Amino acid sequence: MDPAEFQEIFGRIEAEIREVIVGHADIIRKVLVAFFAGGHVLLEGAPGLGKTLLVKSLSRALGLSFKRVQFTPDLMPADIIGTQLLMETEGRRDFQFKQGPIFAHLVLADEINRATPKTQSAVLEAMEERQVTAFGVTYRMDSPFMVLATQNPIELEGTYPLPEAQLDRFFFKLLVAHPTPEELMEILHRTTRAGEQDAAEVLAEGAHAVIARMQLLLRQVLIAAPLEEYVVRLVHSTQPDGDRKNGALAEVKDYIRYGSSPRGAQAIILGAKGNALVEGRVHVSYDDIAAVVYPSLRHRLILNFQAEAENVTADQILKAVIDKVPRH
Amino acid sequence: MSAPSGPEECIDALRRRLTLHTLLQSAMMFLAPLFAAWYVLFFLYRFAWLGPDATMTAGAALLVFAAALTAGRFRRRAPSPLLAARLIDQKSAAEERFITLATLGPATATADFLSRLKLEAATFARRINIKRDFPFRIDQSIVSSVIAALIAIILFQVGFELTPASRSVAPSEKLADAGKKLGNDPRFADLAAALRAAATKLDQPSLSEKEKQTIVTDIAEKLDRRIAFEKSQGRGVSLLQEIADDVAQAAEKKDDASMTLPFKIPSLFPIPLPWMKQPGDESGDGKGNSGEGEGTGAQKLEQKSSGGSATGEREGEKKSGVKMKEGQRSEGSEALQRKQESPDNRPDAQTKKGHELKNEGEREGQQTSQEKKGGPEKGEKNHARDGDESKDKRGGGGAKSDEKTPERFGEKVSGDLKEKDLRFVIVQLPDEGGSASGSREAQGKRTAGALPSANVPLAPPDERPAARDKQMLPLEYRGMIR
Repeated sequence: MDPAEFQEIFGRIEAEIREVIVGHADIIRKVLVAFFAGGHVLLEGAPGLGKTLLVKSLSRALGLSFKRVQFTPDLMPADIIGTQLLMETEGRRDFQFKQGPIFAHLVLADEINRATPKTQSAVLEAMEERQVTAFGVTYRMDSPFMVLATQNPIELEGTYPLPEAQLDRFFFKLLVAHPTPEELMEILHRTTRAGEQDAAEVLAEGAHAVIARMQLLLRQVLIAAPLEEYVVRLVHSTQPDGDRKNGALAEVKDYIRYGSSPRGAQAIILGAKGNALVEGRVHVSYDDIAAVVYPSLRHRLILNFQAEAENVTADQILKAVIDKVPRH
Repeated sequence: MSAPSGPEECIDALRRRLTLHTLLQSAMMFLAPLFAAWYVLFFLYRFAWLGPDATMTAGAALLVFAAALTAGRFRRRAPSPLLAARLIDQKSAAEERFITLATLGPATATADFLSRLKLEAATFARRINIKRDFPFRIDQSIVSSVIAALIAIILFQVGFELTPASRSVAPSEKLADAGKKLGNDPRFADLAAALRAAATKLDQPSLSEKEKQTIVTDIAEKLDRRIAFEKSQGRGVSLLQEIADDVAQAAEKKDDASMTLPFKIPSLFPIPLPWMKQPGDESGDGKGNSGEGEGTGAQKLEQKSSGGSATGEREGEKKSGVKMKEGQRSEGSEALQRKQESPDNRPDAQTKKGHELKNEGEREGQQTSQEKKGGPEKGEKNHARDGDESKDKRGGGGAKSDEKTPERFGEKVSGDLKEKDLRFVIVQLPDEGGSASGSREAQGKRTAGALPSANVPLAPPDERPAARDKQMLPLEYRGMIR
């Protein structure tokens, strides 16, 4: 596969999803980039903004299996991973492992912050290790595998905020905004008339192989050493203890409790590579990096009490970081 | 320079050009300070604070230092291929294609991607014209450097003007130097020997100031006669004239407390400062009128600071020695002017001029004292009184002259009388007998001691100066004088 083919397939998938989803063009692109980079996405937004529809359309366009799990406080890990059931086969009774909904190419973890931490952590191993261990047996996940989790930023009562370790496992955190009036009008037209639109399959046959080649190609995109150094400086400058020589930025020192982990830098580089390929380039530019800094780092910055008291968001701090960290 | 064909060539060509720019900028950065330092050095050399060897050594050291600084700055700022690639990226909006090419090699990148990147970069490289897109620009640091150098020069100049000169050269050194100069010309071997002998004598600590003054005066007269002789023979006298000027200046005492600058500095101040005195300011045109007692010489600064004891005419007297010979005086002034205009003008000589003018009053007082001892006749008192009145008017009542008013004017005399108090000159008659035709030393002693044989009134200043040789008096006056 060459970059042009990647760009062509990516464009078709993106166009097919946009046939179903009105607006959210940036969200769609970044979800696709994260998918081809092998990451998971946390979608944050109010209910009814099309998050579930996005994931469903993605799975249809890619021709992949899709499972949806509604996270509730009484949801148990076995409900996600699976459990052993006593089965009778040819007159013999024995336990067989019944796979849970995690065993799918695309998993939608809806309102993930409503489940208990115990249940939330059940998906940790699956997300990072691409395997599940149940009753002493390890089961490999099918490839490609992607978890798209959603959470509602409004209804926080009775919720369990995701722990830092789990947040860090999400490649991107995307903020789903409300549609503009024009987009809302288009949504109304599509959903209140006769007939239902659904995304068509772009990769009907041999989807897994094509996706695997595309994921491999993405990692071959060239990136210059000065750009990698810039990413390192960016991620390092989110640490409140900062660089010993220059000291941390004032915004970081004042509002951040913990900065980004190395996974943040990995996400930036891979996301920038995906962005470059989508733009038809075989090398990463500073613009590619700038395009993915926010979704890569915003959930990896742990704000302190002062930031919450002053309603300072991670995006505001990241803006200061991007402005103040030199590119050269 | 041919247009670079590929992206790598483009990067390399730009790197070479930037290297040249950096070298030029580094050199220009230190050029202005170097010139400023050289200016100061030349200034110090020209006004004799530094000798030629020291000047050359210091100049060369400054050059080496500036070169070292230039090299150091260049090494720190030498452009890398990465910088060149970044600049091309920015100029051609190549989205980091060149910087990626400059940092990635075949070992670290997929061959397909690399070849594709080269192709894309070559397209952008064709848009670049290195000469047009990357012209040489004067760095802000260069401008700052030039401004700083100019400020330094101005501060130096101002500081120099505000600082009193302190260096002077002893008369014996001047005579010895003059002897060396003249010794190069066999025609003046005798004069050279006389100069050297006089220099040796001047170094003797046992000699009094008067005797030293006499020696120098004697030498000056000898030089004047020789100049006149050479002129009559139609030979060149430039060297002699120059040495005569030096010796005439050496005849004057130095006043270390004086604030007189030893040389002419083009003043930056629009208003003359009261403590500053320029040699050029002292070259009055000598319009002092003894009858009216008015002095119009251009030495207002001097009058302000020293109580106004000298006029332009008096300066002329001092320049030409103790004896008031008008011819010598005018020639002395011309020589002084030539000296100031000559490129070889050195401050020590000019210091002497300034100082001799400054000390005029004291020397006149000494000579007046001598004349007093010799018993000036009453008939001369009128002239003396006239002169004294004019002096009082000119000097605006200087402290010294007020205290030492001669007794013959009906006032009480306290302290030593000075030459200016008498207003007459000593005239050496051509036939004063065997003793007068003896050695110059004898004449000098007589002149400095109690030998005045005749006193004649000063000629009005508007009269043409008499011949610079000894004044020939009519025969009928001789008896009267004797």
